Amino acid sequence: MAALPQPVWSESSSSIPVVRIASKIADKKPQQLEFSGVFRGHELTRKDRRLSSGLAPLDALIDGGIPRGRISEITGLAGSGKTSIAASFAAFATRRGEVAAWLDASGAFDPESMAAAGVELRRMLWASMKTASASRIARAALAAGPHARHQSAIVKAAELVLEAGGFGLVVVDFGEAPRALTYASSLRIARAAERSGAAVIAIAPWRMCGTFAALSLAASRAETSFSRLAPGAPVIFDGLAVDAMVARNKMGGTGRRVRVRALVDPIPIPIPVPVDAHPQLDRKEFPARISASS
Amino acid sequence: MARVACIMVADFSIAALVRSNPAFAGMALAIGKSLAPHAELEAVSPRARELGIRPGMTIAQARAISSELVVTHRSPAAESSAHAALLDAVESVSPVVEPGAPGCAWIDLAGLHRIYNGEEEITAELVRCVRRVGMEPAAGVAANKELAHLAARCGGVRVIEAGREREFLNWLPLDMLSLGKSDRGDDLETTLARWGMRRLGELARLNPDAVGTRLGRRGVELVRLARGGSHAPLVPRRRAEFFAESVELEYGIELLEPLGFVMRAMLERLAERLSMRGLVAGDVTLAFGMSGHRSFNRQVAVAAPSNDVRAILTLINLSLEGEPPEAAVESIRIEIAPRVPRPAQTDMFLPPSPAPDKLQTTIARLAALCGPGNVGMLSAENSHRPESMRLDAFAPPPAPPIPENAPAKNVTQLVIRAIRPAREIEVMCSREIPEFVRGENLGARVISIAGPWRRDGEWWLGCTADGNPHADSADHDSAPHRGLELHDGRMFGAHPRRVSAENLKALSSLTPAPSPIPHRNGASGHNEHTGMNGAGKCGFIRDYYELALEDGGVYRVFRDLNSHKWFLDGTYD
Repeated sequence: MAALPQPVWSESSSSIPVVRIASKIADKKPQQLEFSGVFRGHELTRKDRRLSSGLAPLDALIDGGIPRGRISEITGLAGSGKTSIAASFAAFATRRGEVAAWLDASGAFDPESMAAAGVELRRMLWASMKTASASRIARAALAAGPHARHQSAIVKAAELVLEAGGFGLVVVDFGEAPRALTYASSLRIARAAERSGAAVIAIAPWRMCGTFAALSLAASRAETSFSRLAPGAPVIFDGLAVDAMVARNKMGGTGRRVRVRALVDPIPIPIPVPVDAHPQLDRKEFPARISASS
Repeated sequence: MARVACIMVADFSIAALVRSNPAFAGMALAIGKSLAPHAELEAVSPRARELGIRPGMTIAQARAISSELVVTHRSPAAESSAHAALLDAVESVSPVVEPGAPGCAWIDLAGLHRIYNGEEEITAELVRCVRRVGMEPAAGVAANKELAHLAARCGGVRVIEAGREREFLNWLPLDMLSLGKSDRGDDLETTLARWGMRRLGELARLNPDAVGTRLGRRGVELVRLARGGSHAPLVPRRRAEFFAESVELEYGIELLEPLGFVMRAMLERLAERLSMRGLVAGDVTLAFGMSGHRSFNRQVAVAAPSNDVRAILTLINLSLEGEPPEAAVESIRIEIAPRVPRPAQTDMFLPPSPAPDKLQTTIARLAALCGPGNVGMLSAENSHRPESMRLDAFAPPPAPPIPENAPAKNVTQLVIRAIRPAREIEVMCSREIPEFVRGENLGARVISIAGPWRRDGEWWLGCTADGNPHADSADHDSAPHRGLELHDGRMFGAHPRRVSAENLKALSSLTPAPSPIPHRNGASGHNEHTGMNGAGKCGFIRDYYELALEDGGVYRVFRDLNSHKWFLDGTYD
């Protein structure tokens, strides 16, 4: 039996050009090679491929914003401030001319407060799954169980929006979701997000997408603030102090936290304090507590 | 010198059938006056002609020649669509087109020599355009309509050069013409054959007066035609306002999926016609004829006009899925309003936005999934009711230039999660102050409270004689301390953050009235608005509170003073 020819691994002159090309590629900075698609994974997590919230402390926490083409979760119980954080991302995206979508499982979208938060509603496509008829939802989730039907509808809606392309941000508000998404649903959204390049925010009381979320921010209410504008003036609700903690981040930084203030009126109107406030307006029996904390 | 082209489709009724149903192409097809065996054939396809089947045979005779013959009815809908398509095709070459008999059109060639290099090229372009709409035409070019028509009847493409008309007419056999009958009722073809006339040139040499004496007006017309002396003007048609395709089905279709297959072919033909004219499809009108002489009409709005058949068909399907036809569909007519295509150049330096056609398809799909009225652009309506919203069609404006170095903020706006409609809750109060809240998935003690902020409105509806709410609303807003009411040391009215400095001064200088807390059921008479409200049933009046509960949430609740019920309006989140 004839022996097979042995491979030659010598550093002959013929192998030098290969080595040279490889060394050239290695010397290049990744930013210069991204057009080729070789560093696609790296490109998706670049800082300039992120969507900022416009909130300095929050952006510093998550290295400039949420990654585009990935799922980011903002979790928290009712009153934790998660919707306000998501609205800040939506406001930033729509103000810079991007088109966004808000998929609303519970019909909780309030256009008045969203507009006050800076969201340009003309660039915000809203779709509510709350009043969708049972037949439509069932059609979207033929194989799903009764508990998963609403979720299947919103997953289907998210896929539709992401497949259309051109959206900069898609917010999926799961409302009071009874359970997390299935792996298959999460994977479908994650793949659609990667194909479209849109940033996807999932709002829910708890983590919905599991390992398919690149970033998970856990929001919790740290403080509730009530105050008076003037002595004798009625008590007004100022807002919340929200603790945002990075519960999961594929790019690092898990466990870091920051406090963000979400106020009813972040830009206060300069109102002169009345010096002749009537003493009878200051009702001592009024049971409001100034700056009650949770 | 005028030059006119004539485009003619031979065996037009057969060609129209093949166009509407491409499965007939290449088949031995014939159209009978009826489908009975003794019925005569009106028209036959080229394949049937090859087999020896001729018009005028009975169906039984034709079937004896070939068993592969398919006999069917005429389809006026298919012929109408094919004729419109023919006109659209030739109008893409010249704007001056006169429609003739079904399958025939005349085209004025004046000015086209600046675009095309010679009449042969124009004719070739005309033939190419007609082939694009699914028919095989014959073309003739001559100095007038009749000559061009005669040239087209000869088949193929025939250009009669200026000055050589007499030569063409001298050659033209008389059996190429449909001579008809004379004024006396004699068959002209038989009469002329008895006279020894075989070609048109021989007829041209006769004296018109003598021919008129024997054959009447028709004879004179034939002599004038034979001499090439006809100069009937070309009467152009008006531009079509819509493009339509019709199909008559042999059997009713009950399911949407097979209906979609039929409509797809119709839309493809319409898209081809539109693209030839440099137009795109706008709104679509569907008209279905159903069993039992019922009809079904549907208007499908196309927000982003395009010739993308798939997108248009998706919109139609989604619209039909919402409200399908009640019975089997037996005929379909699709009308499309043409639109001029919009430039779609995007800016490299602006954020990308969804393609208009994909966006409208996505919105239609979402509407099918979520139900109509649940997709679009949601905004707060200009209304006195705080919960009123309006839903508009989503059409994002062009992106503005990206602002550079937008300053980052340290605080954000608190957003409320609305509960629509407001959920009724039970609130336990102590001296009119909420202390405990109980409701669906809710039950906690109140730990902090802000409010009440009174909001009322629409009390003028039904109360004013002239029914003009705007006038009242203007007075309402121009009141010096509008929205601020003070009762028993508590302030009702607009939220203090929305109160101007002047109003705050006015607020500070107000003296509380000694009367008890007013209720809208008419207990208090000092409140001018309450007084105008009468029994308080003409509008709404609510006291809003922000309640921080022990469960950790901050809720917006209101008390409806008409019903004295409490409602949960939203959650600050």
